[in-house]
Amino acid sequence: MLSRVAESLYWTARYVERAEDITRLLDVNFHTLLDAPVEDRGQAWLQIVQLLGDEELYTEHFDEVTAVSVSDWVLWHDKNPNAVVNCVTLARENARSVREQISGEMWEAINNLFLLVRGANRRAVSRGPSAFFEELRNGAHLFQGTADATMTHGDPYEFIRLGLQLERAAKTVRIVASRYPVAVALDDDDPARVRQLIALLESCSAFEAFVKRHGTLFEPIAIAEELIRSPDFPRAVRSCLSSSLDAVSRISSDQGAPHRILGRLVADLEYGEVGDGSGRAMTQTLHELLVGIHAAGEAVTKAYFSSRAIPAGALAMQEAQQQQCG
Amino acid sequence: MDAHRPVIGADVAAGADGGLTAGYDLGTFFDEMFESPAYPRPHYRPLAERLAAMSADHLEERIRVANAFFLTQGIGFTVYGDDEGTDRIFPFDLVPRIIPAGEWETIERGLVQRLRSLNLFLADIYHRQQILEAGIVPPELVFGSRNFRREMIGFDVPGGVYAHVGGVDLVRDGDGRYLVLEDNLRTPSGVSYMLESRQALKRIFAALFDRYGVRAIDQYPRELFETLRSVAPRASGSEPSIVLLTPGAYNSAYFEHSFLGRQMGVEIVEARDLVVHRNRVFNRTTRGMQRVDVIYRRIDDDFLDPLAFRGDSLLGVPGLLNAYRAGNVTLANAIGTGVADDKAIYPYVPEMIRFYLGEDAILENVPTYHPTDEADLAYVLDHLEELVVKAVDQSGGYGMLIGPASTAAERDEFRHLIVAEPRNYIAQPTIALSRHPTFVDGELRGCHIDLRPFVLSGADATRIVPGGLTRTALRPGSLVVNSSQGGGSKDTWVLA
Repeated sequence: MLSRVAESLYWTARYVERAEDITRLLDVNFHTLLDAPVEDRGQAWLQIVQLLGDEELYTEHFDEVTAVSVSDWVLWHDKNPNAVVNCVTLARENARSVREQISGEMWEAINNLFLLVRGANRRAVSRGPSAFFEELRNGAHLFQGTADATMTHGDPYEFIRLGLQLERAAKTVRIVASRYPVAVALDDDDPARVRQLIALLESCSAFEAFVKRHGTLFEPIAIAEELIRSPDFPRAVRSCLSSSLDAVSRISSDQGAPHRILGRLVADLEYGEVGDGSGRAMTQTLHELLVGIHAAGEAVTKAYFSSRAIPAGALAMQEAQQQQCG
Repeated sequence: MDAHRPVIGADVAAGADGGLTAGYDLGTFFDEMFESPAYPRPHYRPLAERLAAMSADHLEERIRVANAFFLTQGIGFTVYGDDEGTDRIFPFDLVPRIIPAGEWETIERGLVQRLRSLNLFLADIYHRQQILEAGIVPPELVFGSRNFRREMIGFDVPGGVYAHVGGVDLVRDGDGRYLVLEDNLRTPSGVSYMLESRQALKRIFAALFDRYGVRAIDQYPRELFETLRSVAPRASGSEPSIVLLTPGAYNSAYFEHSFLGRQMGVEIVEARDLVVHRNRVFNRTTRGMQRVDVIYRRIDDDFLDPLAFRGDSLLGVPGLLNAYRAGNVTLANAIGTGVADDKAIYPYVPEMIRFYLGEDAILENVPTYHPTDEADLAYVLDHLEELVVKAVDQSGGYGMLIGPASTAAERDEFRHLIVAEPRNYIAQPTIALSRHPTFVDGELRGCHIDLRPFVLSGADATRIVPGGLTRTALRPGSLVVNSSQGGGSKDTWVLA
């Protein structure tokens, strides 16, 4: 298939997944904080900004860290390239340029997601209504579900899967990296410790899955094992990277760089361990994982997408001019 | 259809109580549906009866169904200079236009004749130039055309075909005569609206559609594919690789490009997907470079190849012209077809037909004045108020003066423009375009319409699907039907 098309599909999936992940993080934070002492709340919101990796940019635009300012930043701010509204817009733009490659149902799903975000009452949403978050998550799931159910599982589908799984793997790593050290640094009998651990699980939609397997003791090391090395929990890093490796193998049988990098990461997760469970060891492990996932993304770009770079604005103008008497 | 049922005018037209046709005003124009206020033309009777039995609410409900259909299909049409314009719904009118079999047969013969001559004309001016030698077409009009391409001189295009896809705009005058308003031989658009309007109407008027015995049009993408296949370079074998080259998702007609690509099952490519290596064209794919044999391009000549034409083009493929001239790839339409649809050349088409085919033109032109001719210039300047003036190198309803609707200031502006550059303009009498009942603001009103049939010329055959895109003005009194100027579309039913 065309490199450009593969790239657009890959990014459509990444952006949809990113929007969904960010939304879930916000929702969990709003919930968790209802039980937390007021003085801890600023720290909890700062954590979100740090987790998403753009603290520096944030401080250029805001002096304080509150629920409203952080929500505004991660949901709507036009200077934040990863704001949910920008993710959804980019996902739709990418999908639009390859409409003929995706199913009608997928286009409808992404278009409705776009309309939902565009039409949202921003002030109301920034105060944290779960209803909007739920609608947005449902919209993202609908897109991912229709991709699975209505599209031929050929190369275009595999690029969607690859984008989704790599994005998801990276997000889980970031979430664990952000929340785990904070939780284990607290005293065993501090109620905030369990609250943080539960928030960590919920941020990865893993609460129910974890409790089913391990009960309600919330051992930090067990939580880390589940979120990083589980082969069957769909947001576990290992599970996401295995899927990515599978997608890459279906796209091309030759063992190129994406194949090698992902294969190594998956093998490490399968046969390695997450360390002694201390915050410091965990941070190191997660940092290496994130570097590996990033390298895999770069390798995918280089192996499949390399095309001519053109300034987008000028291109759009010339594109619009072409016509005959429509 | 039950045309044998006697129809009494009063049931159908003015005076009937409540029905949609009640109070319909024919005006002084040729009305497609009604011969006179009480009498629908025979081929319109079943439709007129159906409308007479319908209320506005009833039709509104059906329009909602149609709009929902279009919205989920994402049918849009971008309007230039309007930020919100991307993804607007293309206005679509539910009342179909009906053409009887005999009438269509004549149109079809006329179209085949016209496109054959235009293709012969292009071959001639890029080779021996006999028509210029014979003094039939003034050479300065050909060589002075912005769309004449020197690069094409002496080059033999595959299959001898230049304009593979042609859109001919037809109008009917006050007597109901079909006249050619203009030819579109570069990258005519609109065929997807023709096909989608049909999809919608089949849902909305299923029973009526069935009774009428309307000829099918959904074979268009297959016929386009066959046409493109027929002109593949000889070396490409029986299954040439065909792509559709689009300027990209921001283009007004991108929906159409994507629609046709999907329907034909060919790859939709942008220039950055293509690369020329040793005069051969390739696709960049996730499995490396893949050869391309035929390019159905929806990009203007100027932008096709920055090495040959506009150097600032970002939409073009460097080296494409050389690959084309080396015979390694076919472009459809060919480069340089715009000289034949130039509005300054248009008046000569009937003579062209006589010159190349020895036949009289079956479809007549609209009478046209050339400001390059002194007598014509004087007449045009004296009669601006009655004439339509068109810039020869513009299309889509841009650069036009409609005399009867113009202000004195606008006429002054055009007077100066014409005197300064007479070669750039033509003038035509304002045609009293035929009107068709159209559902506007809750009632049926007579709106002006035209017809754009699409003619496919291959190396093996000329193919035309019955009908075409009927465009309708949606503003009361407006003569401009272009979708970029607020026009809409109608389904066109050619009867078997």
